[in-house]
Amino acid sequence: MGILALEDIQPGMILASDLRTSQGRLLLPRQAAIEAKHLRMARIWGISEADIEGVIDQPDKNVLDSADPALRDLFQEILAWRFANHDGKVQPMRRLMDLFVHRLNALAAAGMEQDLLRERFIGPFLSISLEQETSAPLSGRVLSCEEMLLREPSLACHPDIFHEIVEASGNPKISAAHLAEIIGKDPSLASRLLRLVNSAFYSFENKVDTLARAAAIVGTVQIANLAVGVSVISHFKGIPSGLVDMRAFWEHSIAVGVISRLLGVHRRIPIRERLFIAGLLHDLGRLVIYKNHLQQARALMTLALSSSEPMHELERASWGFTHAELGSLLLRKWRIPQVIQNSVACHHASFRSEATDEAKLVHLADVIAHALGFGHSGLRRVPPLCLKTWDHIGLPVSVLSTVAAQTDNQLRDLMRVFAVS
Amino acid sequence: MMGSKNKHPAVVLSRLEHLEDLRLKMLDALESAAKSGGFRQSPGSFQGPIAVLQDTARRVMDLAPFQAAALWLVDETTSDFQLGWCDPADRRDFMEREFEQLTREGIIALAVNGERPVMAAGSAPQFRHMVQVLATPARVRGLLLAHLQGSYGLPDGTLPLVNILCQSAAALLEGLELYQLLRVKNQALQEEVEVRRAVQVRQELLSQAFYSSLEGMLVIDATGRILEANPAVQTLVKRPPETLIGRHVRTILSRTGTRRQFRTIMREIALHGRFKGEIRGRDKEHGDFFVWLSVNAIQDQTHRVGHYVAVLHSIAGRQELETALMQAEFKYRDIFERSPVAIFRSTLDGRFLDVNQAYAEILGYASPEEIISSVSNISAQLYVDPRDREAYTRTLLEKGSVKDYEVRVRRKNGTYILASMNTRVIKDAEGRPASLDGFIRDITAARMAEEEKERMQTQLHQAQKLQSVGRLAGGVAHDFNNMLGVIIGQAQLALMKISAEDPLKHRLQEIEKAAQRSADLVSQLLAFARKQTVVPRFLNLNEAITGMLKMLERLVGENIELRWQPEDGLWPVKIDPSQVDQLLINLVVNAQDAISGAGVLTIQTANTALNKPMRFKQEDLPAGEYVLLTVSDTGCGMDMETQEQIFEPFFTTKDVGQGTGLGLATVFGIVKQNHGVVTVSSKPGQGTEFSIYLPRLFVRDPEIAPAFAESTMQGGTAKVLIVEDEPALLDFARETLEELGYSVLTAQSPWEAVRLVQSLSEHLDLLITDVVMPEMNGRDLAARLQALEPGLKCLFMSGYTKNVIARHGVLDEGLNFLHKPFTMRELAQKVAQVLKDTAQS
Repeated sequence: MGILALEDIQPGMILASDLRTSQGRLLLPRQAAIEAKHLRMARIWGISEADIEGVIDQPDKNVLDSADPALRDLFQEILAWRFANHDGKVQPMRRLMDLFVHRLNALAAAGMEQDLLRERFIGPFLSISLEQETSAPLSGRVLSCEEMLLREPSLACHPDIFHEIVEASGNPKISAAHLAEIIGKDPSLASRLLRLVNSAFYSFENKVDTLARAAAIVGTVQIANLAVGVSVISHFKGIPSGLVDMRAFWEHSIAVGVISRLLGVHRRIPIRERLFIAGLLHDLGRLVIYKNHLQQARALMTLALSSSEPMHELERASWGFTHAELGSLLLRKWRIPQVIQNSVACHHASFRSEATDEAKLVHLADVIAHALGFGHSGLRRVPPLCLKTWDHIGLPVSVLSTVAAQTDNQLRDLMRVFAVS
Repeated sequence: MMGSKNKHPAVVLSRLEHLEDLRLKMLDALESAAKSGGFRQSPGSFQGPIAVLQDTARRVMDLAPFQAAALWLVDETTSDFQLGWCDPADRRDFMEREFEQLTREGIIALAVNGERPVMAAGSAPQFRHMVQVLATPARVRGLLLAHLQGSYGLPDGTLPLVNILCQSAAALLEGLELYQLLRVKNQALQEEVEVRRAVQVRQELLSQAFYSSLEGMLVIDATGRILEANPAVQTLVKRPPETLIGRHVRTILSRTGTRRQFRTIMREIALHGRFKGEIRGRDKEHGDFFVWLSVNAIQDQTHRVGHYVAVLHSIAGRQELETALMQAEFKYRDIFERSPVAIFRSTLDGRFLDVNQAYAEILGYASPEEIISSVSNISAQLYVDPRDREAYTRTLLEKGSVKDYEVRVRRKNGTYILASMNTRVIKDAEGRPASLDGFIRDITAARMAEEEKERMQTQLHQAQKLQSVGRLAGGVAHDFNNMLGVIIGQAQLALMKISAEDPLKHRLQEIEKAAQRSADLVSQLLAFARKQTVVPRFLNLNEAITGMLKMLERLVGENIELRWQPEDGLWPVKIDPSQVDQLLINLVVNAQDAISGAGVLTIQTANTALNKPMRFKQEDLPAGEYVLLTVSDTGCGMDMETQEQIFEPFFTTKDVGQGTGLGLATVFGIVKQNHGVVTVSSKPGQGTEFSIYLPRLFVRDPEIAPAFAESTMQGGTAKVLIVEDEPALLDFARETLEELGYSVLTAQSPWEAVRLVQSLSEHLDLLITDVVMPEMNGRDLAARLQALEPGLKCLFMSGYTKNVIARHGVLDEGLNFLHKPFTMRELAQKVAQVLKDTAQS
C-alpha cells in the first residue's frame, strides 16, 4: 500500500485506509473501491492524497512521458535549462517538474508556438542593446549594499505612504477614508488607482471620483494591495525590457505573493495578507539593481547565463550581498514592518536561524513559482530548494498540484488588475 | 498608526468630520447587518434545509450586486455537495459548471477549509466569484457561490456580512438537523424505554418464577459454580440458598462417591445435553437424602455451554407414587390374570393384544402366551364362520359396543363352543378405533341345558297332562271299580242262589270273570296312574297267565298265533297278580305292534337256577333260583340303539298319538319292583324276545292262600258296622255278611257312622270302612270310633289309595286292608281274620 496524490489515483483503486477530510469526516472507508465521484469529492474537500491498496513505489516515470511526443525534445531542453540546479528524482522537485510539464502541455495545446515557449521559458540571451546604457561606468570597487541603495530615488518621496499602505493592507479595520487619505498623498498613485477603479474592469455605474469611495466600494484590503502593487510598479518604471520583462516580473512577484498566502492557508498560518505582501515584494532588491545599476546587473546576468550557479550565489560572490538583503534594506528604509523585512531578507537563505516561518514560506513560494513557470525575475532558472525548509514546513508533496491550480486561478484574477495598469 | 505630522487643526477637523461620517456609516452597516441578518429565526420556522438555503440566497442577493447566488448542501451520508438552491433559478446550470471548474482549480477546497470568503476568477475573463463556506464549529454544512460579473469590487461590509450570513445559515441547518435528530432520538428513546421496560417486567416475572418455584432450582455456571439458588432448594438440601451461592455444585452431593456421582452427571450431559436421575445429596444432620435431579445445559452464542439449570424434585412422594402405581398395576394385572371371566384385548383386524388365563382355557389353550402366539387371525382360526366376525366388527364399529353377542368359536381341539361376547371399541387419541376390549362366556352348556330344560318342560307338560288324565282315569276307575264290584258281587250272589246244574251258572261265571278282568284292567290303568297300591302275594305264574289267555288272544287278533308253553312244577313267585297282567298285556301289545301282518307270539315259563351272578346290560342278577317268563315274537325286531332305549319312559318307535311310550317302562318298573330283571334280545327282521327273571318265592305263607281255591266261607255273629258311600256296594257287603250270620249296621258317611255309634247301646265289634271318603278318611273315623268303642277292630277297604297310610303304594303289613273290588269270599275271609286277631286296632 502506498500514498498516491489525487491526480494519480484512478477509479477502481482500493483504499488501504479510510479517506477522511482534514476535519475527520469520512468520505470513503478502507477497502472501498474509488469511483470518479469520490475523486471529485476529495477535490471539494481539499484532500490531495490517499492511501491506496497494493501500490508499490513505482519506478520513477519519466516526467516527459506525459508530454506530447512531438514536443518532447523541446520540453527536454526547457527542463534541462530551468532545473539545472536540481535533482529531478527528489520530491518535491519531481512533482513540480511534472506539474510544469502539464502546464507546458496545456499551453502548447492552447496554441502557443514552440518558439514562444522557448523564449518564455528559457529566455532570450542578452541583447546587444544593453550596450547603450547611460549608467555609470563600472568601477572597480564594489558598492556596498547601502551605497547601492542610496541611488534609489524613491527614497526621496513619501516613504510613509508605503508604510501606511502596507500597514493598512494588513489591517482590515482601517477605514476606507483613512486609507484613501493615505494614498491620496501620492497624487500619481491616487490617480492611478482611480483610473484603475474606473476602468472597464470594474464597470461601476457611476464614476468613482474619490478614493474614499473607491476604497469603500472595492474594499480596503484590496485597495491596499492594489496600492502597494501600483506604487511599486510606478516606482520601478523604466527598466529596460531587454534585461527583464516587467510584466513577467510582476507576474512572478504576484505569484510568489499568492503562493505564499496559499501555503500559509494550507499550513494554517494566520495573517495571510502579510504573506502576500512579503511575496509580492520579495525581489524588490532586484528591481533596485536593475533600475539603478544596470551595468552591474548586466554583468551578473552574463555570468549567470554561462554558469549554472544560482543568481544570488553569484551576487554574493561578486558584491558580497544578495538582492534579498538589498530589498530588505530598502523596506527598512520605507519602514515596512520587520516581519516582512525578514521574509524578504531570508527568502534565499531560509535555513538561517533568524528566518521566520513566513520567510520559509516565501522561500518555498519563490521556488514553486519559478518551477511552475509563473513569470520570471530575469533569469529563467529555478533557484535551489532548501529541503530542510521543505521538511520543516511539512507540507505533503500532493498539495503542490492543488496549490498550482489555486495559484492559476488567483493569479488570473489578480493579473487583470495589473494588466490594466 | 498615524504620523505625528498630521496634527494641524484643519487636518484634525477634517479628521473629525471623517470620523463622524464614519460613525454614521458604521451604524448604517450595523443596521443593515441587523436587518439582513434576522438571526433570531429558529430552526422550527423552516420546513427544511432547502428553505434555509432559499432564505440565505435571497439575503445574499440583497447584500451586494451579485448576478447569482447558489448554495450547496453537504449530504451527510455521502459527504458530497449537492446544489440546493440557486437564485435566480435559471442560472442553475451555469453555477453548477462554475462550481465544477472551481473544484478542479482547488478554489472550493480553499473556501471549505477556510472561514472567510475567497475571491476567485471565473471561467471567463469577466467572471468573478465569491466562495464562502457554510460551517458551524462542528461541521461544514454547505457552500455559497456568489457570482460577480463585470465588476471587480465589493462594498466594504459585504465580506464580513456574507460571512455572518453563511455562519447563521449553517447554524440554522445544524439546528434543523439537531431538531430532526432529537425527534428521531426521542422516538427511539421512547421505544427503547418501552422495550426495556417490557424486558424488565419479563425479567422480573421470570425472576419471581424462579424464586417462588416450589421445585428447588439452581443456576450453575460453566465451571460448576452455583450462581443462583431459589428458596425451595432449602427444603431439599436443608441449607439456606445463600450458603450455596458461589460454591461448587459438588457441595450438595453426598460425601461418599461425590466424584463418581458428579462424573456420571457430566457424562450424561456431554452425551445428551441433559441429565435426569436420582442423586444422593449430603445432609450431615439428618443423613443423606435422595432427590430427583434434572439438569439442562444451556449453550451460548458460540455453541459452548454457558450455563446449567438444575431442578431438584423431592422424590418422597414420587417413590410412594411409583410404589402405589406399581402395586395398582400389579393388582389389576392380577385381577386380569386370575379373573374367572375370560377377558381379551384384540385388534380390529383379528390379532390378540392380550388375554387372560380364563380366556385361554375357554378356548382350550394352555396359557395366554400359547393362544396369542398361535392365533394370528382370529377370524380364520377361531371363528367357525368368518363372516360372523365381519358382522360382529361391523356392528361394533357402528354401535361402539356389543352385549351378549353370540358366535360359534372353535377350540384348540377343534370342538365348537357357543360363546357370548361383551365387547367395546377402544378409540385412540384421535378418536379412531384402535382395539377391542371385552369378555367372553362359554354358553354351550347353558344353551344345552336350556334346550334340555325346554325338552324337559315339554315332557313334564306331557307328563302332567298324562297325570291329569291319570287322575281323571283314577277317578273314573274308582267309580268304575265300584260298579265292577257291584257286578262281581251280584254275580256271585246270583251264583250262590242257583244250583250247580243250572245252565245260567256258566253265564254268571263268565259275567264274574269278565267283570274281574275288567277290574284287573282298571287296576292296570290305576297302576299306571300310580294310584294303585300294590300287594304282592304268592303266585303261580302259570295259573295267572292261563287265566288271561283268552283275553290275550282277543287282544292279539286273528292274524297272530298265540302259543303258551308253561313249565310244569313252576316255582311260585311273589308278585301282585295285577302286575302280572300288566306285564303280559304290555309285552303282548308290544309284540303285536312289532308284527305286521301274520306272526307268532310265544309265551313261555321256566325254572332257572343261576350258579353265579348274571350280567345284563342294565344290571346284574345275583346267583339264585328264578322263574323265567319269556315273551317272544316274530316281529320286525329292533336294532341295538332301540334296544338300549326301549325301557326308557316315553321312548317309542310308534307314531305320535299311537302310544304313550310307557308300556315297556311299566314292565321294567314292575319287574324291578319285584326284584327281578327284564332283558330284551332282538335283531332287526328277526323278531324280539323279552325275558323276565323273577326270584323264586320260598316262604309259603299259610295266610296267603291260592287265589282261586274254593272253600267255604266262614261266618260269625259279631256286630259289624260298614261305612261306604256307594249304596250298591254297601248293600252287597251287608247282604254278604248277613248271609254269613253277622249283625250288620251301615252308614253311608263317616258322620252318620259316628252318630250311629254314639247312639248305639250294644257293643260294636268290627268297623269296615272305606279309606278315602269325602268328609273324613278311614283312619280318622276309626280313631274316633275307637275312642267311643275301645277294642273296636277295623278293616279298611279301598279302590285306590292316596299316600296317606302307604309308602310306595304298598300297604304296611300290619294294617287290615281289603282291596276293592272284592269278592264275597274275600270279604268273608278278611272279616273272619280280623275278628280272630286280638291284638289289632
